[in-house]
Amino acid sequence: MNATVSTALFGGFMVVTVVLGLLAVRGRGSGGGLAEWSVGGRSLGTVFIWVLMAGESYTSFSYLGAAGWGYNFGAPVLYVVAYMSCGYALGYVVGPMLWAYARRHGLVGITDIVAHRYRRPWLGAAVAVLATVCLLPYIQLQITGMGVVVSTISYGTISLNWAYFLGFAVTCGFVVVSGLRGSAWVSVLKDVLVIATLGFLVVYVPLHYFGGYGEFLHRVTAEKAQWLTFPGHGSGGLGQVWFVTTTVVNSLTVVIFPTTVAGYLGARNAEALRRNAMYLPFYNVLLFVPMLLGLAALFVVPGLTGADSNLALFKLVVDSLPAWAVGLIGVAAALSSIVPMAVFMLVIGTMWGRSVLGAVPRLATRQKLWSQVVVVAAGALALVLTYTAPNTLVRLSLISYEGMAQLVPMLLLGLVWRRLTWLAAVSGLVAGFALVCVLVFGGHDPVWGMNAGLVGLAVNLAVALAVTWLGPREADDRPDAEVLAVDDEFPEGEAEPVRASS
Amino acid sequence: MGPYPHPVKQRPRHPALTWLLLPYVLFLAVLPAANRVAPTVLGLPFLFFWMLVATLATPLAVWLARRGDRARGRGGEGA
Repeated sequence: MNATVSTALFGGFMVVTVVLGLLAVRGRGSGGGLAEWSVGGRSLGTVFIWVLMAGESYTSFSYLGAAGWGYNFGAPVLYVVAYMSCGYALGYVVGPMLWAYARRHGLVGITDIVAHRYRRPWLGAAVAVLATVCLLPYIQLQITGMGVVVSTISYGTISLNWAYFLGFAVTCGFVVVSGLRGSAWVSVLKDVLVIATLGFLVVYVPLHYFGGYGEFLHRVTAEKAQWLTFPGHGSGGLGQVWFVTTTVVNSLTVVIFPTTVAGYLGARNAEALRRNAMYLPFYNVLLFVPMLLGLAALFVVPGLTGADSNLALFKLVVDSLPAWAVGLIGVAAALSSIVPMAVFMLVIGTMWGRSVLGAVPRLATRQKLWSQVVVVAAGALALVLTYTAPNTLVRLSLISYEGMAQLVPMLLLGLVWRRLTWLAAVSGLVAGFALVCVLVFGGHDPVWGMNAGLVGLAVNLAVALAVTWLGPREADDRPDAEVLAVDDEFPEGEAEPVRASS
Repeated sequence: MGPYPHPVKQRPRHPALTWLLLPYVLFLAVLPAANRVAPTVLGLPFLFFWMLVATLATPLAVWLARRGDRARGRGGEGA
């Protein structure tokens, strides 16, 4: 009975999700080209940008990993709030800058930006390949996250393997057709459900299990003090230095993360992004909920270990709530996988359609079509790897964020500093990325208490500066205004440059 | 249309943008002093209370930066 109710509710909402995603492009015809699909025709206002960016950053990790980290370690989980807050503040400057640059030159993503800045299409293609390697694990994380949520809230009716497939199918069901705009529409449903269900849980769980907030917090403080300060409980070196270095490097990375940039580029104007930078950080308050519930789970379901601790929050939900509520919370968590997965797949598709396949002259006229094909291919690859070799992507995911961080100098420094040569940017990237791989796969992260990504970034920057000063100078006769992001405004009423795409 | 029809304004970074560093100060620079359980505020252990304060101060910092930005005539609708 329970299973029927929650599964039916879940199924109903999945249908609504696909329909909503497809409705987003109703009346817009099938034309519109790559920019219409990849960045929503650069037409989203403050509200949609807020909903979309909140939607894509609040992933299934927020439900599973944040509660799991809270349960296992305690305080170190706060890094998520810290880096997202700092990153959103930084986005006030970076967002409008990237938006105006992309708009001025008709670009649709970071690979495109790199290719234009350094005037080397192959560099855009190489960055696309690298970024794809870093992003694929995130798709798998969303697929497996959705899997455990769905099989838990359906009380086992839907098997893990079917739930994985469902995640892939629902996401493909709308994003292939409706792109970023569809993701923004689905985000509306997602954000409403996430805010409502977490708002409810944060009140209900302490009341139900502890008789109130005061009592809950009192018990945590009295009995679990080790969880409440750095380095937390049994975290293996996640101390204050780790927290500070991780926050710094992640806050720099999140502003150039391809999915974040897709959100930036979707904006109607720079002002929408500035306003968004002000409102978006409020969303981070919600992150405290799974963290606190992870701590609450320490008392209610003690002894969870390994991957099971990620279910800390859902054990409480299934244990204490009726089936319809379990179903609804499951839908919110499933959408927290689906929306980010859609945007991850979308940016991979865009990077390949524009910068890899689009760079081949014979294929360049069908960039949107190639992007859509790659969306399905990338999702299918992640799905197949989830079934056949799950550990491959899990291992890769260890370097995802820290690897992506190595693109910061090439992108951000490159857009404000003319002298940075392509050779210097590439040398830095290679050095930083290699160092991150060595440290992470060698089991040295954190290294001397510091996040390995920041160590890599420091080496990356040093190499890039050294090669710029000592290496060959570049002969590029374009004016600064063509190469650099010198102004973050875009004149009203000016048409976007038309580039080869359909 | 020429390659770049608009004169490029090199604008000096405005001091208001330093407000954007406030979250870094609150989350990171102050951490050694905030890394403690006592005193509890509203029942919250101090570190968690402090992180909540920093989280809520972030939009305020962006607002202050934006206010400074607008004061020199940038931003606003149609900008």
